[in-house]
Amino acid sequence: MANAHAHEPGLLRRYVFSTDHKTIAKQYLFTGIFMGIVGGLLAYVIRVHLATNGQPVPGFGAVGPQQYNSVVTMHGTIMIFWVAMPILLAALGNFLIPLMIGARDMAFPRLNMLSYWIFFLSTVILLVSFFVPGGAAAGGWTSYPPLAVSPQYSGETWGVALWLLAVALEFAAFLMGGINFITTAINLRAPGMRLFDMPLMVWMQLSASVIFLFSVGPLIAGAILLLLDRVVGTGFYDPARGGDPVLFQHLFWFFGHPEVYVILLPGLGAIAEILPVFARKPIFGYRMIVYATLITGVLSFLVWAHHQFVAGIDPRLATPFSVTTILISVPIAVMLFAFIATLYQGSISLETPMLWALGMLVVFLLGGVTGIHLGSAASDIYLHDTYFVVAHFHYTLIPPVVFSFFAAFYYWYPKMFGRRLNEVLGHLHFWPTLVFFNLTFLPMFVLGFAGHHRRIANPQFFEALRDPTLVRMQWLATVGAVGMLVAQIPFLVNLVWSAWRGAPAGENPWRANTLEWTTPSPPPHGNFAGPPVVYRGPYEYSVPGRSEDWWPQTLAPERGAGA
Amino acid sequence: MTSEADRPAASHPNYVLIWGILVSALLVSLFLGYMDLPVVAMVLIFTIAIVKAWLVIAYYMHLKYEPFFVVAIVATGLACLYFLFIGLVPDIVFAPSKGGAP
Amino acid sequence: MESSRAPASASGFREATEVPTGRLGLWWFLASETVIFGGLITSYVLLRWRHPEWSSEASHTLNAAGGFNTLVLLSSSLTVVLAHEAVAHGDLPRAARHLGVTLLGGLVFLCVKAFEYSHEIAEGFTPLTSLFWSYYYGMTGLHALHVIGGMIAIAAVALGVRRGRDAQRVEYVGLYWHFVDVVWIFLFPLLYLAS
Repeated sequence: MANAHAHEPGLLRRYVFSTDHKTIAKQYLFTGIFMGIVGGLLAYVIRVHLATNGQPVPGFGAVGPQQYNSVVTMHGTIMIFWVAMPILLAALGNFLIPLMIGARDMAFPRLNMLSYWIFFLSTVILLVSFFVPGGAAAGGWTSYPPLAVSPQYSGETWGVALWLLAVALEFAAFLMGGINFITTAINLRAPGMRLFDMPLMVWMQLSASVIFLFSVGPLIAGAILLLLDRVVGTGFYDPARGGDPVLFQHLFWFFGHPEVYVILLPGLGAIAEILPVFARKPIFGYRMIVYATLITGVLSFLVWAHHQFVAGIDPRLATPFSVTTILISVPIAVMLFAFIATLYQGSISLETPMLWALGMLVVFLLGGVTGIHLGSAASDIYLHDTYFVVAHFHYTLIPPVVFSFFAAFYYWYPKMFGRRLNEVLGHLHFWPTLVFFNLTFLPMFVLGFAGHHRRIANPQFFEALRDPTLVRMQWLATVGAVGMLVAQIPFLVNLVWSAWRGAPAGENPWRANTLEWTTPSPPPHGNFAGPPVVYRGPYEYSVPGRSEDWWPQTLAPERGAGA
Repeated sequence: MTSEADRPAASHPNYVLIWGILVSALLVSLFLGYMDLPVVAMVLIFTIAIVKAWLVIAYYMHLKYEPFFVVAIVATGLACLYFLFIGLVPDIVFAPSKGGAP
Repeated sequence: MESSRAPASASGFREATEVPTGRLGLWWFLASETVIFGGLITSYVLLRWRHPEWSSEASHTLNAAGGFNTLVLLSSSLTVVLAHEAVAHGDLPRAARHLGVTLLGGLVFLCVKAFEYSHEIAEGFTPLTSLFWSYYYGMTGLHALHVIGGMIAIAAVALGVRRGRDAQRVEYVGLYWHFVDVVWIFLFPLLYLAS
């Protein structure tokens, strides 16, 4: 990268077609937040439709059965591929990895830029699919054949083809991004930064990228076959022609399960960075957390068929996959215990990032234990495809995608934008979100145990579901959902307030050790004047014998003093 | 290329010799393909394919001269495919007969 | 701690492992392609195992054409690695010539493939004839798309090399080309010989 430009790059090169990882991170961030609003509005439509038993939804209109399927499909698709992955992986990873390892930029800056624009194209295609004849895809985010292959079943024509194209482009973008992240973390570390001196966020981004890279291939193959079935009329998944729809399910979930860890790990990475800073204590069990992450990554490839226990798979597969699924809870539990131990006897201060981090841990724990019910084939036979599943995955996915994301956003916002956010507004954002989130999804466990199936457009059609308790649960969930959406208003106000009246952030408002806090806020193009030299690990807080309760990684050791 | 300067001269394989082995292996497989010993021929043909792939990967792609972690990258991909295959055999290969299957 | 022997990049920041960043990135890219093609091939193998009657269908693929194409790809792997060797000896014009021959090999491969497709369709074997043929056209078609992509990349690098720059990219495009060759090494017995 050139140190001096002959002239300042124009607006287009600096903010639109930039190869700077920090700008690309912001592009992913804003696109992801925008899609989060779209996905959230779709959730609003679902919840109001269900609570009012099919009354027209204010601002949207009446929702017919096929339209309901479409709304549910697009809500899930958007939240996973166009919100969770961009904001947790692409935005945080792009912004933090080079800064945290002391690099000037990613290993392949132009590839990085290309990845964003391919992602942008995928976003446009997906949004366009709402407006084509027949509407958007309606086969579930899982897109199983034969439903997703045949217009006579799913009711739409263009929707699925555009959906497949959008998802394929999104995969391509994240593969490019992933290769960039992995190569950068391996090769561009500053002198003195051994692998075990890297902040856990970098380990998590690296692991998530590797997991994504190895798991998405079979699904890309399967999706190509699905597209051919749809567009050309082949019979890859047609039993009448020798194909097998269960093949698609296997190919999908071989990716789909590791994918949830791709989303979870960066969320845990944010927690791992924030807890030590706001407890002024080293992370407990750094190496243990790294090994647990790697074990989780490996195990995540061996559990996928727990999504298919009732799909007609060979019954002998039930036991091995139940065993591996229960097993995978162990390394995750190890990480959660390590995080809790980090807090023990720490000097905890409850600023907004810490609130979100602690909230994440509490909520995720609940979600995780309900995974046991679903991972055991026997209980899953009853609970599969009920609202229990919906509650479980929201209790496990919203902690990383919402709680960890906001923790990370409030924590790194000063570095990204050079200003502070308002603490009072932060509390006004956090507490209602936490309360209304639980109000939305706790009732769904009750619904699930009662046998209420998911993806039903008109539950009132079924006599058993007209039970007043169940109706009340649906109503409570809707109140919670609307509350959750309203609770985001303080966040938007905060963004405006900060742009207007936020205090300058300074270099290191949180007194943290990692390398990004040694740069100006926001960091300039090229991040560091020369390669920083790293002398110690990232979590040296409250080290005995030091006057300060923190010890930056790049601070040279004093002569004659212990390292 | 800086990496070439780092490699010891003796590690430079004879590319044309490797090509000769590859072509011979190809001819053997072709010949076996026309024979009428199905099982034995198939086993040999696929073994030969693996050998050919190994020659290209190890010598033309220089994987033999790369540090272990690069080999691990390839090995991990193959391991994933292995687990995918194992997991799918009961359902896809030995599925109970479905209506209308040829 | 410091890998002092590692080459420094232009800005003075040096690489933390002994593998150059470009090559490392390319291996990760090939790993991602391995699981994509691998997923497709795995699906085919599973279905093929389930349908032994596909052997008779596979007997209609042209072994001679497939064998010839294998020879062409193996030889083009040779020429592309010789291009790499030429770069190592600083002989950029020779490298460009070898890349040109490699391109020619790719073109021959595609022509033979086109001939095969037209012959098979004329005989009545289209992608919709049976599931075996759907896989045949799908797998060889995806492979052919990768051959085309590789040829474009090789052509771009060859043009650069003739002007005396981008020499390190010869190795990267070669690695990709070898990958395409290795996939074909497996497709050939799977689709042609197993009959």
